[in-house]
Amino acid sequence: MSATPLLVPVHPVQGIRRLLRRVADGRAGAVPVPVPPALDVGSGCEDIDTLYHHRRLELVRLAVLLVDDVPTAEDVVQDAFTALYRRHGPRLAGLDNPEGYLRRCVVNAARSVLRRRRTVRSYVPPRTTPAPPPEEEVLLREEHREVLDALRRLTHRQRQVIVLRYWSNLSEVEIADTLGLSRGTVKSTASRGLAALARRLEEAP
Amino acid sequence: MTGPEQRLREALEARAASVTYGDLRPPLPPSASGPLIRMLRRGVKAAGLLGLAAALAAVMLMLSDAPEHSPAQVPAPSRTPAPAPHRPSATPATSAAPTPSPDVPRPEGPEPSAG
Repeated sequence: MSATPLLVPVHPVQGIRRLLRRVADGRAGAVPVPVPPALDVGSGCEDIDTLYHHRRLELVRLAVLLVDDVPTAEDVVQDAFTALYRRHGPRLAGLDNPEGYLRRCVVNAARSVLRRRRTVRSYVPPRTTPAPPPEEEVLLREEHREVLDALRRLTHRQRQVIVLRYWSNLSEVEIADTLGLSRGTVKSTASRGLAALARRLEEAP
Repeated sequence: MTGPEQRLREALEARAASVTYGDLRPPLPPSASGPLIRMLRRGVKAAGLLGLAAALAAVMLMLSDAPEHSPAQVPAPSRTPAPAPHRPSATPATSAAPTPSPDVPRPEGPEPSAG
């Protein structure tokens, strides 16, 4: 199966503004990934506000890796929290694993976003190369950009599995639960995705 | 860890780290979102409850004021005052015109002839 390059609907002005803000803050260099504070998940003592403040950034990052641009990722995450609130209320009653629920919502919504983009692409002239977000173009090193470019060319499913495996560090069982797949499918998808990625990286100039 | 996997992890981490709190919109937890809508909903609920309470109060008031009558009971006589008896006025009525009465004797005399 061949993946078409993704169009990234990021407004250049917005990206440049964000970049300037970061440069002004002195954050333009390599930023270490902060580990989100651990939550007492499953004890039932956290409410949706606590979860929102603790997990929002991490979920936005996950969504960015799936949909490429920050505004869409924020929308996806906000919708996930809203769905959680509507379904389980502010106290998250009757929910054992709210983080798993949120992750599932984010991944599913990201897939819908990618599907909508594919539908839009079928009505507009295709672009030969994917357009990375402006801040990525400036902030990331060339080798990282190559990897992310290759990642965008994978199928949606392969991309999801790869991101959940290599960034979220989920096990095969957790990925299977998140995506609603069997463990074997996750394993084979990850293997094929990684192979395709390595192939594209070798092909890259 | 093999080369592509290591590169992949580093690239994913770098991309994720490029998104910070400063890039995000102001936080808006879902419990705090839509205050106007929530206020409206609360207002509608309060208005509904008030309306229900008013309707109940009106029904109670009507039931307490209604006369308790059963089919065997004779309706109570009306309390509307009867027309008062005519009292003779001290001053004679001047407007009343005298009407001929059959008891009044006719004046004597020859009757006028027809011819």
